[in-house]
Amino acid sequence: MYPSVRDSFLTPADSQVAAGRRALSMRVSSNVVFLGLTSLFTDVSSEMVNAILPIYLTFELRFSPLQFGLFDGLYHGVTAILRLAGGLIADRLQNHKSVAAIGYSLSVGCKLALLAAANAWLWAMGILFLDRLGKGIRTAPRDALISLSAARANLAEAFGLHRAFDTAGACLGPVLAFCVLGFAPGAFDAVFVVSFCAAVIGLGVLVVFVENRGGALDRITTGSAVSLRAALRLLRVPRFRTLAFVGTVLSLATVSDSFVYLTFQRRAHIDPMFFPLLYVGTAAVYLLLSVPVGRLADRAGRGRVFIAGYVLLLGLYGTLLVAAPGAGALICGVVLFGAYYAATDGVLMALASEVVPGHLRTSGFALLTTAVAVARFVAAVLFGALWSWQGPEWTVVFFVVALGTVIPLAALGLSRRSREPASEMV
Amino acid sequence: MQLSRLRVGGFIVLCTLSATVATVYVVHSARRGGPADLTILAPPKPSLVQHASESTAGSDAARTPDDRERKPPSGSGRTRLEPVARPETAPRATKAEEAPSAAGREAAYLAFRSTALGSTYGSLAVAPLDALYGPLTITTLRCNRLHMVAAGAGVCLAADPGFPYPMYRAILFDAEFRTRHTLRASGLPSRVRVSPDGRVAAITVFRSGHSYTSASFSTLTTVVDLKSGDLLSDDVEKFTVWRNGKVFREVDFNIWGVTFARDSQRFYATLRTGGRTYLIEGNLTAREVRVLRENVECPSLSPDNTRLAFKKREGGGVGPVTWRLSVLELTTLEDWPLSEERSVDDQVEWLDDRQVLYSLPEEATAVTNTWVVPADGTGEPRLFMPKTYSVVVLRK
Repeated sequence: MYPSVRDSFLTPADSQVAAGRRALSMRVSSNVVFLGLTSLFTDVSSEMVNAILPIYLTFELRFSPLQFGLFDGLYHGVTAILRLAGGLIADRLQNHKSVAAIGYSLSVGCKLALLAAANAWLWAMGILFLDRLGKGIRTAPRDALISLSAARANLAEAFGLHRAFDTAGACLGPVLAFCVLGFAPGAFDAVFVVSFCAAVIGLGVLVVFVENRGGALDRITTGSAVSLRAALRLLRVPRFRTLAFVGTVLSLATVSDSFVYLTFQRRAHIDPMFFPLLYVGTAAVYLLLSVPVGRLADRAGRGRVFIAGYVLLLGLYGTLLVAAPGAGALICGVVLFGAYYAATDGVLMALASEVVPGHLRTSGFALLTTAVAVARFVAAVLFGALWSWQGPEWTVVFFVVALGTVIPLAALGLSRRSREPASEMV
Repeated sequence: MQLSRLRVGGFIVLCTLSATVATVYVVHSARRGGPADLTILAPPKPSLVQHASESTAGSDAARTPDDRERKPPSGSGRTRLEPVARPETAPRATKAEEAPSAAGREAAYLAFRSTALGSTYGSLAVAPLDALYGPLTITTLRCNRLHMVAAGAGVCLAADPGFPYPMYRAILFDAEFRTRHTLRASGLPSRVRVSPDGRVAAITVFRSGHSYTSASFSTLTTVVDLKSGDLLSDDVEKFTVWRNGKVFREVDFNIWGVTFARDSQRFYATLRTGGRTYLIEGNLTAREVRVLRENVECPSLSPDNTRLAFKKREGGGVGPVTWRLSVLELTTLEDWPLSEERSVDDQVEWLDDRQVLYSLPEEATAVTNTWVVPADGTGEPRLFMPKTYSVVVLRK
């Protein structure tokens, strides 16, 4: 007897849970925890390097601000390109783990190569470019593995758990870097060595402990192939298209992190000493809330929580408009920003897991995240342009209006989406 | 989950190995460098000054010449710099300067950031100009960039390893190298100049996002009162800028690299807008500047106040920007290149009215060396003092 279409979206983890209902209430599989640990170590590694990068590049490599700007642009723009290619390969081979491992390995190699780059600015740029490519390759297959390792009912929680690990790593990295520099002043090479070792451990966790999960079951049952055309055909699937559209449009009205912090800095005249606390505060809130909010999303509805996240963002914009924000407004802003991340980042991937068939999981994720990333980039450029034209206040008002208009539309789209029969998906 | 014992064992070995390599390398890094370049004879004293007698709270300007002469003790410094390969040419460079100085051999000093690897990396150190390779004094201040006047007041721009991101600070110090005020700087230290009267300082830091795209950096130049620690200007870009008799105002203004004239009122600096750099001349009290000419970065006024040494932008585009050291005559605004052909990214320091000092990074290390070249475009660059950065000539 063949499983129904709907059943075909059950992951191996689902069938495990369904079949066994094991006594231990392990809602989240150990695979997710190990993927989280991999991300933690890798993020410690990258953030160590990122934290000293401005100092290293301008002082030791003598980058000019222009070169640094150029480099920064490349550094952030590159991720999207490789994502789709990596996704297709992972789906075709049904081997998410190997593709993710290639991405992680690239980062490991880059940390070592940075040691040798020394004074050659072009080399250093090339290496960090490669490091970004590694990130581009690994993100989608990793998220696919998470989605395939979690039971359908706990998807958002699983993503929340992973993001908590990820954020913890990002917080620890700079601390570790400055411990090293404090202990051995000027020893940037030592930072690279420690970073390399952390990346090796991260890769080790992935290779040894993470199990590959394929959506092979789906392919057998649905008989569909993996190709670029098949991946793009996802856009014709109403539920996926709606989700991609909602994610993109909301991102178009989203102010990028650096502008949020910059606006705070400008308006609050914060003592620069406390400025880094904004980053840390946001990360801490995100870290604390990402699992509980994920669990809430699983129970109360992922679409609802996702939309609520953007309402929180609207609240954050409100605090940006306070003329002379005091400590209260700042704390409020930081909490709202962290909560917004917790309610949207992992939840979006959980929403996508519901609608992307298992055998196209990685390419579908890649498609979605690329669309969102491009939209964010456009929003950042728009925000910058508006700011230089009309000043920060006017710009924030513009984004408040934009987001305020988009949220109801998005909510409508998502609620319609949930009413659509699942069978339309394939 | 079935895991072979071999794989788990392999993982444990991997972790142990990684942790060991990391620890050993960091410990090794912390220890290296010492023997080759810098011999620590004794731990550096908490204060530069050995003569404890005059820790007066009086004004620095009122200090007697005697105070000055005794301050950096030439013999009692705790640390000795012994270059591996002592360049024959370097010490000679200073000899020419000694003669005009009426106060004699002890009068002039060189303050700098030590870039010798080891425990004193980044420390502010002082050496007598006529005995650069003799004993030098290392202070407890660690600076990325510094400037001070002979009377003693100075600014040390520091980038500290800090939680969770580096902390940038401007330390205003007194004649005894004690901290008077600490200001939080909002970005990576770039340039600092103290006015000749020791009252104010102009500080430039990199500030990102100022021009509203994360892909570009910009600068912030502030003016501080060294005595009170108050900001006299929180952003020099707010000064009125005049060009060709009209007020000139653009959103993408960046002003950096201030140098003060003898009267401590007039100053020169770089203004950048619309992708071009300009030389500006300003007045602190009037809060006005006017544009003099194009393509001048990080000007530095000669001791006789007649010429500006600066870096002239060449190249750019996709390749690395290069800067040619040049000097311009203030009366004609005409410039000539110096014989240094390597790209120099520094605000130069005049050794005397004829020679300028600047730093260049040593290949593949965190070490920078200070070079000297004649200011008239003749001669050849020579190594002045190895393992130093941000040098300041303390003239009488």
